[in-house]
Amino acid sequence: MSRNWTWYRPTTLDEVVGLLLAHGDDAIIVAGGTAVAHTPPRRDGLAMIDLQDLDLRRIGVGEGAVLIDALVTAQDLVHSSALDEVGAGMLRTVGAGMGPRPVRNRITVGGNVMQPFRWCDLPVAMLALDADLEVFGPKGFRQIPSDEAFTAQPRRQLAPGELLVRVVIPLDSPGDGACFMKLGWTEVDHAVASTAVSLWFDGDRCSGARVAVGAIGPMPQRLRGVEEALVGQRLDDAVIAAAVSKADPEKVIGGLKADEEYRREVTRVLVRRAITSAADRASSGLDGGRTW
Amino acid sequence: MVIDVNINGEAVLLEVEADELLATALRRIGYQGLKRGCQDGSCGACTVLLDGMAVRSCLLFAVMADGHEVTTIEGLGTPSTPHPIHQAFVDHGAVQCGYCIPGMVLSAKALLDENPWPSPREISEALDGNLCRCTGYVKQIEAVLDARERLAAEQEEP
Repeated sequence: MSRNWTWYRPTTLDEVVGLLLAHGDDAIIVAGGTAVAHTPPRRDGLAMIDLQDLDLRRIGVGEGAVLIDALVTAQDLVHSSALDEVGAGMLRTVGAGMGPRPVRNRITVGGNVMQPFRWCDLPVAMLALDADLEVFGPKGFRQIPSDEAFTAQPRRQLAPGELLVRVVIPLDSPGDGACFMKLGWTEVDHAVASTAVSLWFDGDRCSGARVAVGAIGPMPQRLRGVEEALVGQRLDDAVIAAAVSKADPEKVIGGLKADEEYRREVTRVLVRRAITSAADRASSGLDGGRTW
Repeated sequence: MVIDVNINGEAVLLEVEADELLATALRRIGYQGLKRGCQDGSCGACTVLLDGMAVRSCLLFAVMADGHEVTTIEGLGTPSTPHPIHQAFVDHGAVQCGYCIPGMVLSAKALLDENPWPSPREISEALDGNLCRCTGYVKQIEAVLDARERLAAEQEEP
């Protein structure tokens, strides 16, 4: 049964903003199209805004940060050496696991971040990396910190006429450590549980930590109890184990692939391994590689 | 609505519905080598090449292919003039029921176009989105290893 939609292919951000304002709740932004095609909206009368003609597919290094445009694909992440400069290269690992190759060729950073399914890996990494989401709208550009963006569906943080244009991730400093890990049925399957960890050090003591977990609740979340237990400490196995015992994720859900208790348990295991790996990398100066 | 799309080297003006998937549109006009298996992006039977890149035609609206080149399995060769990848799959017994094979061959084609001499690991990564429930995967990786040699030999011929 065919639906009565109108498709647009704007070539400038201003055109997109005009379409978003004109169509309001009837406007659907389509980037790679995988999520929308998988679960198409059932309504008639929609304005489908296909972003493929926008010039928004670069990964660049700016002042103190790496900038990833919204139309960068998961596969682009895998190939980008610029991403070795943030999160110890974890985004290349994340990209490699975002579905099989033909899906990675289409999934975009913007779609994965702005319309996340609960198993999406990028939002977890964005939280751990303290990324800002840069949006453009009728009043120009502004940045939304990831801590605000993922408290609910990120689209709800957008004002009328706004869209995501890029994510901005602070560059690593020497001595930082980071790691992403996920558990799925295969390397490229949806996560049953995932975690991303960033650690900062002052000498041999941890001076700051962001520990995010995903796929176990509707939105990725930080485990602040774990973070607090790491800061100020030398991270040996006992300290890490004690910190992980503080893991108390909210809203863990069951589902087809794993029940609630299993997700809680496997999350603790992943978090322990990821913190250990991030701390090892920080002390050895190794960059990130494939961690699954 | 009408889209202007190049299918297997031929410019086509194609009438599509606003919510029609590329997989559905292609099968409707006779390109039935691709299959709609799982219809959610998991199985790979609907894989086609979009501007040379392997994509899921079940996760793409047909209208988004407007102005692009689509290659289906029918565009690679025929039973009497098979593509070297086709022939390698046959010679290695990499095909049983055949349902997944068009997608598998196109994934291999995209890989070999990008990287003419892939390692077994690179081949298994490129085929990781094509599920086969008959043969397992060993024969298909062997077939692609062989295909890379056939294609390299073709390149060397004057």
